[in-house]
Amino acid sequence: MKDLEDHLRAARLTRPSPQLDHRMEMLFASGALEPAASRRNRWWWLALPAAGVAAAFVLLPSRHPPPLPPAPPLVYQLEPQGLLRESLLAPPAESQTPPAMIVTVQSFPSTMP
Amino acid sequence: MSRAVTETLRVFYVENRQQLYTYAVSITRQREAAEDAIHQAFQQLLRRGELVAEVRPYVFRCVRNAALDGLRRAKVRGDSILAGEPAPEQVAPAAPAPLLARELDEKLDLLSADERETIVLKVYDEFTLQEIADLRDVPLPTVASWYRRGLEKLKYLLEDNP
Repeated sequence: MKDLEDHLRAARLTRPSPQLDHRMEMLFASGALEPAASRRNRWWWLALPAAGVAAAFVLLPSRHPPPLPPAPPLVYQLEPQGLLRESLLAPPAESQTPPAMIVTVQSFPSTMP
Repeated sequence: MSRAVTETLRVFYVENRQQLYTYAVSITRQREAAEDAIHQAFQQLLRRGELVAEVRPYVFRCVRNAALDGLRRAKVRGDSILAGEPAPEQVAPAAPAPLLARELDEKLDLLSADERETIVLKVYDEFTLQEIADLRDVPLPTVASWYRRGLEKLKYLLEDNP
């Protein structure tokens, strides 16, 4: 068997063509890594607008003015005059509590001077 | 890392181009298909952008897969791994006669694909039987059997039935 192996080894083999070497040179030189690299680059280019959109979502709401605290109710106490005042200050005897008159006005910030 | 992979593969190709080509032709039996398989395998390896520690069996396996893919796609013409006629620059006194090469190739063609592939890997590409078993993902005794049977057939064909 050893002789046969030597016999096989002595046979001259077909060689790859120069065209293959040229193709391989082109392959190594042109950087077949470009597809992978471009995929990575594309990822970054896609990440940039995505980050921008995310930032917009975060930042844009903060541009609105903060919500105003609820305005405290304004209470106006009116002192009636005349007969009404008398009936309020000197209520009838059968009345347990004097009639109260409270006028509540809800005020909002006004742009009027 | 990418440049390192490219350089590693480039050096590997330069140092192993003949072995890779012989192996690919032994599978495809067609020179153009073998060259396409080698090109395709390296293209895929470069795109992958990373290599395993054992580069040699890995690259050979990739070339094998590419060659088998090519076989599935194309009709096999049956080119030789052995030179039929010497190229002018390859003529040397020690070179075997073209007839011998052609005869050897014809006999190799009579072997099964597994036997031929094993003999090519062992004799021409200097793989050990264990490395071939790893490459083919088959048990070592199977590879040893392919090799022994292939050599016996070749011996019978060459000596007893010239």
